[in-house]
Amino acid sequence: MRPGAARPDLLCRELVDGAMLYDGVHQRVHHLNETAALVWAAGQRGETATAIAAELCRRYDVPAERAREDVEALLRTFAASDLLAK
Amino acid sequence: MSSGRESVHGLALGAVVDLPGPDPAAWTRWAEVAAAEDLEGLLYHRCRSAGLALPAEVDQRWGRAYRFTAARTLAALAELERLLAALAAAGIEALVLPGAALLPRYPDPGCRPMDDVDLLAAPGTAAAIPDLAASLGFASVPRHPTLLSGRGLVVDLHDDPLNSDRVSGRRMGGYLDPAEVWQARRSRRLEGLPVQVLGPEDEVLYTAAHAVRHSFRRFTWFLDLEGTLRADLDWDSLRQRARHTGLERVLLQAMRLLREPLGRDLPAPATAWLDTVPLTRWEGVLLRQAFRDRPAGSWGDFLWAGGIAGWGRRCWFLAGTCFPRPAVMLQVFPRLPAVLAPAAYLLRLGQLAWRAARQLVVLLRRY
Repeated sequence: MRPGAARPDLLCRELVDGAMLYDGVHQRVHHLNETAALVWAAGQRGETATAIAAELCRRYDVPAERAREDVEALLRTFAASDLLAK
Repeated sequence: MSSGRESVHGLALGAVVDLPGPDPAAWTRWAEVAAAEDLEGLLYHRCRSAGLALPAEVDQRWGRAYRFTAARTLAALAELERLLAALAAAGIEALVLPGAALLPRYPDPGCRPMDDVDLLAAPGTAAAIPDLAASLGFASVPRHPTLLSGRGLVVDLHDDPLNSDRVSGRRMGGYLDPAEVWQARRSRRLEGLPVQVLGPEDEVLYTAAHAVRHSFRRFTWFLDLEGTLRADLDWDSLRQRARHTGLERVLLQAMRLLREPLGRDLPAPATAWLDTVPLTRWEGVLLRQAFRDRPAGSWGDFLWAGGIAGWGRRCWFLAGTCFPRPAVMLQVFPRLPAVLAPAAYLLRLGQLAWRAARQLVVLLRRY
């Protein structure tokens, strides 16, 4: 699974406790915690879900299978929230 | 001043301070000061980036404030981008005044709350902006045709930086000429958005004058001022500009507070300036009161008046500031029918008397 690119009009900002995405079209703000921010940023660099999950395993004490499930769930959430370019 | 207040100020300014430790009452005091001073977001950032653990309740409260500020700022900047693009398409330029203009001096958009964005229209263009903004969905606030409210953004539109057009008496205390200011403008990026901002000297003078006028109510104004003083400044130009605009005294007053009681090490030219141009006794007394009473207190206009040479000019300044023209008085009392505008002056007199009495009670209790 390869995450898509962010919608070009989205405003993304790294914060001290994660990241914030401002969606002016839907007038919505999304706060990503540190893990979600890491997944988002890696996704924007074009990394695959497998590579992102491996990075999570390196950083946190989490089993590989669980990391992969979580990454894929997050990527689905990003898409469902209309944060990715069509 | 309580040690909690001092420490919170110190941490906000980036100094090394002792955190309260395990005492919940001390943390409660910190949280109260931080909330009253609108510093929760900045303190949250300072603690998180230094790896300092906060009690869960404080962490939650400051984190919420931090994210709220970040969200509001990003929304405001997105709307500002839309407005500036529309203005540019119509051939109108506008300059972003501090505080929004000073956002890049903070670690991120969660650290500096702002209620509105002050825009200075290019000379002779302000009249066209409200209609253009209305076409984008901005609505002007009743009786404030230059206060424009959009999606997540309130714009305070200026014809001249210090609003001397609205309150003419203010010119007695200094004047930033819009044409001169416009000529000295420069470019900056706010979260990636290219904007025009004041020149370095005007930015310092505006920031100091704004802080004095509003009695140093917000602590971030000290950070704003310190940031502008640490920028790449030509101090000779600043001194000349301060004298030329008549804003030297307000700048000295603001710098004095930064030096003491806040204990900041100012750049050497600022220290030399403070040492060679001492404050009057009157200014010193008012400055101490103003700092003690913040974030409440209404000493700003008196403080500003204290720096004006000559009693005539001083009184003209105070009269013009306390009793501006009828259209402005009706903004002060928005529920008063316009036909009763003269009554606004009586109401204003009562309002000022009430404030003075309240201040007197505070002083009597203190001494």
